[in-house]
Amino acid sequence: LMLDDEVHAILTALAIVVAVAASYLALAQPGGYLVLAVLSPEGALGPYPEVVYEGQRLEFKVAILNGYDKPVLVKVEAASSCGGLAEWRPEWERIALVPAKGNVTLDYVGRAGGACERETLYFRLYEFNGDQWVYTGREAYISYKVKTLGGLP
Amino acid sequence: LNAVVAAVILIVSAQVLGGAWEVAVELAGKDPRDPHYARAVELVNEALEAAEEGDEDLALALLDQARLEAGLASPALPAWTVAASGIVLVGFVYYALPRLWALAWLWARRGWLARIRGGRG
Repeated sequence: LMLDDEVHAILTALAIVVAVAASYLALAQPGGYLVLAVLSPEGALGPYPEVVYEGQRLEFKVAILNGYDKPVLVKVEAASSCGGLAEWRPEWERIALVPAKGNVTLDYVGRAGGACERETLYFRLYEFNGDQWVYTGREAYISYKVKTLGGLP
Repeated sequence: LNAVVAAVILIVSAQVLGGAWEVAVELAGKDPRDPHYARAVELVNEALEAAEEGDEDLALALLDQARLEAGLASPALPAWTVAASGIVLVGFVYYALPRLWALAWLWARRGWLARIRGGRG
């Protein structure tokens, strides 16, 4: 019937308009995210060392995942809890360009401190905004017990 | 043993940082799947590493190359074009496909199918 055809046409047109709007909203989401993670030297989420010796060489991988539609220029800083985090004195830093919807892995190489029994190594992620480094609020850490080699030459 | 905590902090010069930022700006809105895009990112990261190791001349040369690669990368498709393609596809499936199928069916019935049936009859 003619009326049925008209109703059908209107419903189809409505469905198409809703589909257009929904597709646009789904695809044009302006938001994004950055993820910072500490990985084992093999690039996995663990195992991490639980006990290390003072001065022992430590290796980790630091992964940064960019969920934005644009590349992001980032800086990762590392600081030890034994060195006094209140003033945030970084002891290691690396800068990298992370592609849009991509990731970058950086190699951290450092040594375990002996100033405290338990050391926590903090990593902080900064983003360059064209003028200055801005802290993203993203932080990752790894904690281990430090043993001293007392009595040994 | 004295407490030696970590490696030395290596600071990248403002010139290198500015170059890396320029490439990042150039790459915004480009297609990340483009090989030029990937190469540009790789070159910037190599340049940053070179700068961290103290070789600023190499870093600047790599950044020049990265700028060229970034310029060659193709722009990403805007979201509305993807949505429009989806609508065209839906339209094709909903409107054109049944009609094409009906035409093909009619053609078949009038053509070889009819002849086969006629021959058997």
